[in-house]
Amino acid sequence: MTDYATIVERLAPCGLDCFRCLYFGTGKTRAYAEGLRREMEGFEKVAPMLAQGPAPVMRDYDAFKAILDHLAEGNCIGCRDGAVCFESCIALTCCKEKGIDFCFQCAEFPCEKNRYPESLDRRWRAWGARMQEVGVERFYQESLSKPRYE
Amino acid sequence: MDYATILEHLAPCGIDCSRCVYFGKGEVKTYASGLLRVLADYEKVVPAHTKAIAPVLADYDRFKAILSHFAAGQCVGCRNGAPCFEFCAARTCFKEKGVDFCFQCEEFPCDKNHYPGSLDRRWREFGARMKEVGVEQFYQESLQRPRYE
Repeated sequence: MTDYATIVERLAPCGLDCFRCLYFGTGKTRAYAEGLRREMEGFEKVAPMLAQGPAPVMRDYDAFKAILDHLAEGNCIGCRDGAVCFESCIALTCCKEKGIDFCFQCAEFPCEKNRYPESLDRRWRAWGARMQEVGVERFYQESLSKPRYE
Repeated sequence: MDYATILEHLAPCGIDCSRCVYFGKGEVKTYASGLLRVLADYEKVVPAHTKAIAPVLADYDRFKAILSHFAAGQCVGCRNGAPCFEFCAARTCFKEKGVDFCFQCEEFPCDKNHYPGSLDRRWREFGARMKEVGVEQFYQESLQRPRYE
């Protein structure tokens, strides 16, 4: 099982997994997207031909390439290294002030200070509750068998 | 790379099956499958990310359709019986002539193949270069260039 100190490097104070985020600079998403982009170099020249013949789906190749480029350029260093997802998120500075690693370790959790988008708000509450229940190590172990995005 | 191994990679026309996007054991399939795995269920947060982070993600559905298309590639390659085009004469002709590549035939470049424009151009260039520098050096050079050009 991954040890606590390593998990703290990977998870943001809110519980989000920076290491598995698609924008993480040394993450798998970027590595796969870069590899795919390298292999696909020049493919835009043959995509129109395929679109007219065996693979109509290729008519959207431009849109595919734009998102592939986007995913290949992720360079986030992670929340704890100073790259917070949202300007409005106060979890990192707040945890430092409180002398804790995660929101759930605070007596005020879940507080009203964060204004997360709906799906993140829901997950932030669920993660904190689960970390409180089974501990950070087990929570992290469980999370690895689930998709990063849900 | 030796001649016999190159034969496993290249079709008689000179196209590199092993680097094709549809090759079942190719890098494109490997990377596309990996991306699909790490992006599992990402569509649930796409609307929020499109709005807050990256408008380009509005086309995520179309991106995923093509990514899935690449991840499903299962071609076994021309020499294993999966030619690109039904109308390609090279797929059977080379056997009749007892050669490995079109350029090794005295009729090259013949009129039997009716390749789409860009493939016709490359077929002629591939053959001319193989004739000039040999199959091994041709293949080595090709690895320094994009598969699609």
